[in-house]
Amino acid sequence: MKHLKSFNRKAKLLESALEQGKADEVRMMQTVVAGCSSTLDPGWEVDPFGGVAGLCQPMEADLYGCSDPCWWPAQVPDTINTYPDWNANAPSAKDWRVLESVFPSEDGTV
Amino acid sequence: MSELRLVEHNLHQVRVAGRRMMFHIPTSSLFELDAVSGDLLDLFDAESSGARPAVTPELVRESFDGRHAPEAVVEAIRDFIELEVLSDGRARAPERAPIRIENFPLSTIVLNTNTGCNLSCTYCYKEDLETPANGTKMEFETARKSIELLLAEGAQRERFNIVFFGGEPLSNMALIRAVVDYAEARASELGKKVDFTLTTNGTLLTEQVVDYFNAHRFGLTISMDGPRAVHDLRRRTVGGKGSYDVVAAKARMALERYDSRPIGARVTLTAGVVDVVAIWDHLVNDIGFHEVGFAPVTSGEHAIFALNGDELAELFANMKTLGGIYLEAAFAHRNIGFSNMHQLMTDLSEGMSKALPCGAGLGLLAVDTGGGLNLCHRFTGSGLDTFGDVDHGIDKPALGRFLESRLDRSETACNTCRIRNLCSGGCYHESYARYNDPIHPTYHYCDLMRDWVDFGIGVYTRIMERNPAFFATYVEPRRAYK
Repeated sequence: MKHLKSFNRKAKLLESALEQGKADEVRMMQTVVAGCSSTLDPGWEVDPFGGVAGLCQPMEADLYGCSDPCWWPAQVPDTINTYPDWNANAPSAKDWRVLESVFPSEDGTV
Repeated sequence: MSELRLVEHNLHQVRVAGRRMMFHIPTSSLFELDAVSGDLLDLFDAESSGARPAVTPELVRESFDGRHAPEAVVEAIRDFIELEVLSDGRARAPERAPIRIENFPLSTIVLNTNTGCNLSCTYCYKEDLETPANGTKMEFETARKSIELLLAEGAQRERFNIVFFGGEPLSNMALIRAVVDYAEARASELGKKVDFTLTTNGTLLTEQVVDYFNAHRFGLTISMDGPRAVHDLRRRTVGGKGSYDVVAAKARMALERYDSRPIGARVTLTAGVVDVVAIWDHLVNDIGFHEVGFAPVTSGEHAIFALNGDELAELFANMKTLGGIYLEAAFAHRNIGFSNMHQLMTDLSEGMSKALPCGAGLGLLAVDTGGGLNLCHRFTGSGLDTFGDVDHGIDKPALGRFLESRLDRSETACNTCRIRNLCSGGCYHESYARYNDPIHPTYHYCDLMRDWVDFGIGVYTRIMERNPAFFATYVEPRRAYK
């Protein structure tokens, strides 16, 4: 698609599906339901953080805001310099419980 | 080439700071138009002649001769036809194939732990709300059967959610502890995971209770309406006193101790209360909540606390002001914790497209104290019929019929609406409270929601332009969490 520039994730999916002649599949595969109703997300009142049937969203994202770009000093291992594999078991925060703990080594280096 | 027609209900154009964006309604894709595709769409809206229903090949040639290469124009036309933005007369498939709903792969069950509550917020929508002395508590056996129903109906799932709602759920801690023990044991037998979530008015939180929730990684939401004057307006004790002091103190205590998950505040907006910027500022910057979500009170049109039309318009204007603060912060790679805006950014960046407004009745059911199965937490104890009970299972034919009736948009204004796949007719409970019919679309929000989504497209486009990494850092991880 030369004259339409894909600007969100769905557009990119649709563009590649069109190239393969599979645009109908993109439509068929669309989520029947995801998230809370958009009328100001009333389901937010039971769970704003995405634990519930896709009702809403987690903001655990903030953690990675501290660890990845290092823009805020927090008690989170920094993944750019010292602990690149810290979240290897939990890419995209799928399960926070498998995030590693980190400890300084005995000689004081990381 | 035959005559071309614009399929108006499949596209929506938004101009953002010199860019021409096209929202592709059937899929929620967002595209930026270039000169060729933009000029092509302009042919259907010529300034001199007004809207044109159809454009002939001659007109295309005549208009673009010497301006755009013929191949480029043909390519753009072909893309638009593929997207069903333009029609050359050939019949196309419907937007969605008819859907029959026969299975209900539950991931979540909401338990109404107690109809009693120690607050008597004047706007509470719960039809079965009682004072603590008169409340009906859920028996453990009912909760146990609910969990078994969840595990059986959601057999293919790896992860389950159990939500405690009320009344005030903390007024039945004995049940919560028993359910946690049982559910954790059952999940571990099955090699699956279980999460717990709870919404509370905050008044009964103690350090011990908070530590218990922390140990079990509860997702916590505290209902708080804003600074004292706003909060105490309607969130009152059974005796009529404001609850701000106790809730603010307990929320601060919980935020101080809690480290397993972020805690959010949930704000209900009522007549005269539309200053979302001040409320957000207080709850995030003074109290310390990680995120704040706003919703206008759900009620019949003439309730004394309902927002009137002017107030709703003012509310959305204020939401845009806070959205502007969100935008500025996003440029600087910060997320200010404005839930509604963040949700909209998530929907737009993903290209969320929904056939139904939410997961109620499909992935989520709520159990009332008597064991009846309800669409969601808001319907327990309401006048709406239940869909089976925990003893006999889900009344699948009835629930399927209910959901399919909302899926059918043919007789509604949703059919050609540009946000039909983002809103899908809106909240069932909002409609139930407003029109006494959960299937009825929430028409009172249409114009405001369309405008809010346009605002969102503008914010999304501008963040993409200046700091696309914002989405990778703050938005995509939220989606991936599911």
